[in-house]
Amino acid sequence: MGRALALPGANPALRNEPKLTVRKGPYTYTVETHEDQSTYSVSDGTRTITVPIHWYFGAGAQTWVLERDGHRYESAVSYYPSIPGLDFTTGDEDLKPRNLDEAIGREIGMPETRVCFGCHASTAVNKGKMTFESLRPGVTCEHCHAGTNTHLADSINDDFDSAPPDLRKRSSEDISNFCGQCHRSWETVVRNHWRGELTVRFQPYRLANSKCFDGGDPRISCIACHDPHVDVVRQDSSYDAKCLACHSPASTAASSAAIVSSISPPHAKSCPTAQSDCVSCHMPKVKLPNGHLTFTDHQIRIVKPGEPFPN
Amino acid sequence: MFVVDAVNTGMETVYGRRLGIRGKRHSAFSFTLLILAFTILVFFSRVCSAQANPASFSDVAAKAAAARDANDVPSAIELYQQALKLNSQWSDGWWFLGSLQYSVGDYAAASNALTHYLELTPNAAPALAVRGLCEFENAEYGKSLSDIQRALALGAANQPHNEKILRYHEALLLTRTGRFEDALRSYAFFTHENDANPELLLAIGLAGLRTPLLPKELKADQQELYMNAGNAAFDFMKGDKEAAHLEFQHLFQRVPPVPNAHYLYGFLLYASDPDEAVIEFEKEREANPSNTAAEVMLAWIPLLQNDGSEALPYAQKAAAEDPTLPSAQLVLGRALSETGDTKNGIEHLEKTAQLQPDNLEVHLALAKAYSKSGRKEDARRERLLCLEMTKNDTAPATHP
Ligand code: HEC
Ligand code: HEC
Ligand code: HEC
Ligand code: HEC
Ligand code: HEC
Ligand code: HEC
Repeated sequence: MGRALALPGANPALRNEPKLTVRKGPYTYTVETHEDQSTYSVSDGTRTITVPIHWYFGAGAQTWVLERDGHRYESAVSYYPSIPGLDFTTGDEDLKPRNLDEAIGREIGMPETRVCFGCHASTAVNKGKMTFESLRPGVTCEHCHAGTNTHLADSINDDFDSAPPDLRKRSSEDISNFCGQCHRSWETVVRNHWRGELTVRFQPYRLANSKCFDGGDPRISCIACHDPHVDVVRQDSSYDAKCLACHSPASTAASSAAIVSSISPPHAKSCPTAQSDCVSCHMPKVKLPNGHLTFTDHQIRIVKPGEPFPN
Repeated sequence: MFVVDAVNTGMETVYGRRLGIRGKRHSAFSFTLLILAFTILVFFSRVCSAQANPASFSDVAAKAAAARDANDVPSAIELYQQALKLNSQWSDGWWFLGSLQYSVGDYAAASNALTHYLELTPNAAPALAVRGLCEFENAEYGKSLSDIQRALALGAANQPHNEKILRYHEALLLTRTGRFEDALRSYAFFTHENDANPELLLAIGLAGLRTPLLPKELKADQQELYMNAGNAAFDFMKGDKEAAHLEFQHLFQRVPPVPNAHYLYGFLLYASDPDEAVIEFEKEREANPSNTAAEVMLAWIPLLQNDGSEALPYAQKAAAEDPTLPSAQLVLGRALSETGDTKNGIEHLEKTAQLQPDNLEVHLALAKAYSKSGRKEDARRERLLCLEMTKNDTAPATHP
């Protein structure tokens, strides 16, 4: 998560791809990188607009926020490692630029720029005002450990009791909402009437729609399965223990019942089909319609072959 | 099918005028389709039911249909009434009677006939819609709102023209019944159109300045003010924020100060720019210290940012100022449960849910509060309800 937003000079993906180009309708987009400085150009064959890239978003896929004549744009095309190469920025496929100036990307006003940096960078937004000078790339400690600049010293001394406002002691529902500030909470998605496959990237929403979710049970909180301080674990079997904490077969249930029953409801049913790699079947991977981004469906469930995306 | 046309033309003139849509042929046509489809359906069932009844009934029913076909509305009404005296279970008769009475402006009678029809054919969206419009004319605003909203939920807005009529009335009624924020959201539907007519602006102005009146109930010397407020809000909702900004500045300079003007601007701003919105709500409170709605919004904004303790004092103040205001109970319930007092929080929220069962925000708050306190089944029920309430008008999520 620390790499969510990067400043110039820190972009290994582009360094390895010194010249990227793609044609979209009448426009040709080119992203060139020389010595850690990247530029973004769009051309209609007669005229070309070139702007430097200052802000990179995304650790996997990359979108750029561009500045031209005091206006800011979300780049019309993004870099996708799965291609690898450029294609339309997810969600901007339907933009219909009327001229070269509009072909740069989708103009974003100040409020949108602010929330965009608010989720992707630290200290960029301070009391509601953008402060580019103090912008720090990525989701850094301060984001989750409010006011930690002063406490960083404490943490070095191994004294981090100012960690997220007692997050570990809070309910799974609270933790979902905390992570949901950026990953989108259940209610944000519902309030916006968002539906369909794109909601798969909003894990708090999908998880709460699962029958497994119990906002009062710590075994199903985001931080039961993820340590936000390290990269996500990409090995299916490593999640088995998380599922079995609730879905343990009767035999082990008996032995651990004494410990577990004091904090939680009785154990849930166990699987008639398999004993390991639970997430490989019950948390399927879903590709977004543009085919370049894949997410894990947190709506844990029995997946029936051929069923449409449940939502 | 002449009569059907006559019925439709009736609606067209009565409601088209209000919307500033003047008898355009294509829009009359869409209503024709609605009632035509219905009529065909009704026709087939009539063939069956008529056979089972005494000859005198089928005679009268046939004469009624003939009068309707000949566009002789007064005779048709008379004959349908006779036929229905002979067979009050004839649901199609009630539908024809009601729509004919509606077409001649006899709203009380039409509403009564449609009630009979709906008893025999529950959940018929077109009949609910027409009855709602009758109740509107009869000044039965609460009933009218509930019929129109049910009709919308059952799919009565299946054609653009019908949708306009129903949504416009829904917004007028939401305003009239004091649900100004919901009304503004409904009016946003009309801002896709490039030009607004004066009555629409006036209507938006009423919702925006939180005045529970219909445009026709407003005094003539107040119209200019409300029109200006409506225009500023209309421009904002249609995306012309610079024009809106100037218009709001003019509104703010008026003497005496316009109650709720800052509130309106804050309300429009808060989705895209909550910090600016806070400033407007604070200005509203300065100008008008008893404006509880503004206090509610000052609690609402931190609540949406997951900051219950920031919200709590505002929420407590709002609820103390006006304990009957549902939105004050909502923010207080939410703030209490976010700050750890889930038991009391849920109590306030449940009370609000009883007052406003169709308010999505109350159910979102309840889902969260139940979930936090480990009431899994209750939380799940509320979540399913919220998903049900938002299953129409869905939007694709946007994010790079
Ligand atoms: C301030 C915003 C923010 C908050 C709060 C936040 N995240 Fe994230 N998270 C991000 C962003 C942005 C990314 C994407 C990184 C990228 O693509 O560059 C991300 C990525 C992740 C990933 C994937 C990392 C990987 O290695 O691919 C996981 C897992 C994750 N977050 C879990 C959490 C959990 C659990 C919480 C709550 C404890 C949380 N996040 C809170 C912004 C946030
Ligand atoms: C509400 C918080 C939020 C806002 C606002 C936001 N993002 Fe993100 N963004 C995230 C999170 C969380 C992730 C990681 C999970 C995901 O991809 O959905 C992410 C992922 C991304 C990715 C990587 C896609 C991938 O998964 O590889 C890009 C690129 C991106 N965001 C760009 C932007 C840009 C550009 C803006 C502003 C116009 C923006 N985001 C606004 C939270 C946010
Ligand atoms: C995405 C949110 C997020 C980010 C970013 C984050 N943390 Fe944390 N941190 C948490 C959460 C949640 C916990 C408590 C749960 C846990 O320990 O797993 C935590 C716990 C801790 C703890 C342990 C506290 C204890 O009570 O044991 C330390 C130390 C810590 N974080 C340090 C850091 C440092 C240093 C950084 C920056 C490099 C950082 N964190 C970035 C979310 C975050
Ligand atoms: C029961 C375990 C479990 C819980 C609870 C859980 N996750 Fe995950 N999460 C996973 C698994 C498994 C993956 C996929 C890892 C991989 O790529 O192999 C994943 C992946 C992710 C990713 C990477 C993007 C993606 O969708 O593949 C993010 C971000 C994320 N989780 C966020 C969250 C947040 C936020 C919460 C809390 C609302 C949460 N997760 C709760 C198991 C869990
Ligand atoms: C907090 C405890 C808990 C955790 C952790 C948990 N589950 Fe569940 N899960 C439940 C409960 C309880 C049910 C039964 C819900 C019901 O029937 O109402 C359930 C139901 C299910 C179902 C049946 C769902 C359906 O659609 O009928 C599957 C499959 C499942 N869980 C798999 C998993 C997997 C895989 C994991 C780990 C990734 C997991 N669960 C983690 C508690 C949990
Ligand atoms: C190879 C795919 C696969 C794997 C791996 C798998 N499951 Fe399942 N699981 C299924 C299928 C298929 C069903 C539905 C079986 C049925 O209905 O007959 C199921 C059913 C379930 C149910 C519902 C049981 C019930 O009686 O309602 C639970 C709970 C569950 N699995 C949990 C798990 C857990 C926990 C793991 C890992 C230990 C796991 N599953 C691994 C395929 C899998």
